Amino acid sequence: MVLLVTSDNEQFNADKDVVERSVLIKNMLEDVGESDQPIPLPNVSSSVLKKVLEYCEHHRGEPLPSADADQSQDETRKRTTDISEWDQKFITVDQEMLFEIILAANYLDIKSLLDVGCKTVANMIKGKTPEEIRKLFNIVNDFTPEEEAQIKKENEWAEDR
Amino acid sequence: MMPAAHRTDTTLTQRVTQTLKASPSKVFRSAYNCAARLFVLHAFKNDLPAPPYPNLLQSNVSPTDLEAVKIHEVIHQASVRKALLERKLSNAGNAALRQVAIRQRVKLIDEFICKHRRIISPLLHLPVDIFLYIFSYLQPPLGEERHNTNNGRARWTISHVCRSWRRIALLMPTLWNTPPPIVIHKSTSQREVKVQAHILNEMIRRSQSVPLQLDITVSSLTRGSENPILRTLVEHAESWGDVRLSIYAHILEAFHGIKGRLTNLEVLDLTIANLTPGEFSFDLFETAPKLHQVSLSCWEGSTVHLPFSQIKCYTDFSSTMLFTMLSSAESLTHLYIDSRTDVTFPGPLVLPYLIELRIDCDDDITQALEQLSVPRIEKITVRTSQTPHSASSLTTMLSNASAPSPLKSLHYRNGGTDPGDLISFFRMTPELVSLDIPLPAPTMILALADAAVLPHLEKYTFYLRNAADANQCAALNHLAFSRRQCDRPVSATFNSGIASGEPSSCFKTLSIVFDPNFCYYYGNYILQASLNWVGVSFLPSTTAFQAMVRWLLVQSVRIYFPCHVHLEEVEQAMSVIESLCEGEITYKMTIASGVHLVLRSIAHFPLSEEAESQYHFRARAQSLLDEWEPIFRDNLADIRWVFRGPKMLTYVPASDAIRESPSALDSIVYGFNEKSEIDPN
Repeated sequence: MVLLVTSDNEQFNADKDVVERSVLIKNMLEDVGESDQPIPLPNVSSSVLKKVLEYCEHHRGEPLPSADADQSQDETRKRTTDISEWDQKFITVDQEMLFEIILAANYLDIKSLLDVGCKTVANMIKGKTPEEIRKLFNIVNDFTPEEEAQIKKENEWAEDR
Repeated sequence: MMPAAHRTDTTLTQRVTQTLKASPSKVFRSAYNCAARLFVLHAFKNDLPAPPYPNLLQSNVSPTDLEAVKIHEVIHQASVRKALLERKLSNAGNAALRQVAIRQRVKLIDEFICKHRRIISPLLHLPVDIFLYIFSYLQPPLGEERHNTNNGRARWTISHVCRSWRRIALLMPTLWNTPPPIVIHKSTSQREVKVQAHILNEMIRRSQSVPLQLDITVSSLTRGSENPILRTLVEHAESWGDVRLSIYAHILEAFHGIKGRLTNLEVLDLTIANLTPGEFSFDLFETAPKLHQVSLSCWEGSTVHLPFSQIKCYTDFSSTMLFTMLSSAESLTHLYIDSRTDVTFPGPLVLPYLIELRIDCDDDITQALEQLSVPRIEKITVRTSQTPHSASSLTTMLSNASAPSPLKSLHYRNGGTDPGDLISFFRMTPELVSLDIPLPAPTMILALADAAVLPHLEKYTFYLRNAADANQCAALNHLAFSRRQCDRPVSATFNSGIASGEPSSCFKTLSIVFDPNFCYYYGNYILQASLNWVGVSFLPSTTAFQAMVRWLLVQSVRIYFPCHVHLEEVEQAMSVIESLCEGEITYKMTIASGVHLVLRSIAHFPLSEEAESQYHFRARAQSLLDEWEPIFRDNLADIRWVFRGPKMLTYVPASDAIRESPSALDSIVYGFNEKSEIDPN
């Protein structure tokens, strides 16, 4: 078992083969060797780590992506934003949690979880207008009038096609 | 900068003034509401802490850590204030005006919290590389935009959301290196040409030095005038990376400027058509040092000069260039031939590095196969409708290389006829893992049951066009038993003549796939029953024959219900089924008829309430299914051959975990979903 400590000082015990889906933790464990020392995760809160561990537990035992696979996956990655049924249910969370999971997956280096999060955001973006995206993510339209003019021109191109 | 609260007051004052000038009928109410809001704002501004960073409220800039702490503090203060007000609200009793005032104040606090939460949202903290990663999923693959223009729109959309998203999108050359499909035709309006040229130039600029993925169709050009799209394309020949070009031969000359400049071209999909038959030769793509994948379709008599010796993957849609190309294709690893006419080679051909061979041919390929030598081949896919003896040609092809073949996968279709004697072929392929052939004669199936023939074989797929006879069914069960360690033979035994010693190595899947035209063929259900209960006759007796006719009707209900079947016909079918169920029909006959599947369709069909209340189809169907359920459960172990969608029957051993799962009845009696997996072990 491995002891993890979150940014809000909560402790989580998890199986080694579960937490080792995180490349960051795997490397830390290798560096530390056999030890009961807790692993601090100052960038992950307890609510987020709980979700991350749920994901790792479900995908326990699945082959980890190799460095070689990354490149070929990058090629096919752009072709599909499909997400498995379980992952879809797992990632159906509020927006704040979604982005927290993405940040945690990036920090902990869990590529498959990062993929799920990023694909979800990409799917949320697809088929929407800029205004709808702004509304969805609470983003302010901060373009200057000159930039707005350029965008208007680009829209005309797109409409004309 | 003016404080936010002050700005809000001014706006409200303006609104009051505007409202007063507007329609007199609305003036009083609107003015009252605005005045009330102003009053609330002024009277209770102590509810809200001062926004610590008003500039951040109007931007997408993420706060610093210190700023974030301060923002958290004011959100906390506002939340505390809100909680106090909510308590007051519950104590306000019936004083309606007081309640309205408090609610208004709570609403203002909510707005304040929401605005401040936005600026500490994790979205604003996402590092650029994560945005790059998200946006990479919005890159349209080459050619996809042709089918769905929305696929290409997303990259424009994200660059129109806000300044930071636009900056990130413009940082991603791979988002822009696939311009929309380019169609050049002389009837295209000048305006459209101008727009296309604009888009192309802009995308080339944004794609920086990343090679372009181009989908170009040129069907005609206006004489005497230069096409700006064509000019741009030729100008940027060095940036061509992955190109799909469909063009008429006489227009190719317009691209002469690209010759010798294709320094980044890696993939070429070339379709050349000709209006007038005759010989034609061109060499635009002869020098392209990185070119390794080519797909070529051109007419007979044309000569296309390509750097064949460096090509690794070649797809041929016209056999005219094939032999020439293959003769010098020293590096070829993947070869796909798609031909409507016969394929012949004038002499022997050695492809020393070929790993995959795929042939789809409407005509004879035996001669070509017999000329080939492929010592490193690992995957063969042959689909031909006119070559009954191509199996022996495959054997000859493998024997042209001296050593045993490293072949791992064979997918062979020859129009559905018996593939013939493949034993000699199998002797040369000891590494074979996956076999997909038309259902052979019983002797062949029995030979496959002998693990010594193909010791590593894990996946058996047999294609069935028509029906399988009783001997084939028995042989299939023998195969299932022989190669499945933990299984026992199903009911009847088959005297194969092969010594039944210790069970040999296991397979992972054993399936029968039906011809797509026979997916819903009623005989498939009889086949399933014949495989599950070998020796039991499902051929019609006098009474059963009538039932069979009804079953046919029932099948039509299953497929078309209720669009093309009148409710009265369904009523007749239901009555027949109900009367049969009261009589002699057994659960085996139920399976053999597929009637349980029909009833399930009916039980779940969204019939109008009116029709349901008249005929009670759903209720009647469900009642029969409920009646049968315990019988099905008791006999689940008997059912080894299970449908996976309408196209496939697959063998599920007695030891399979699915039999212990809660979905066992659904999966085994009613069939797996097409995509579902069965425990491979």
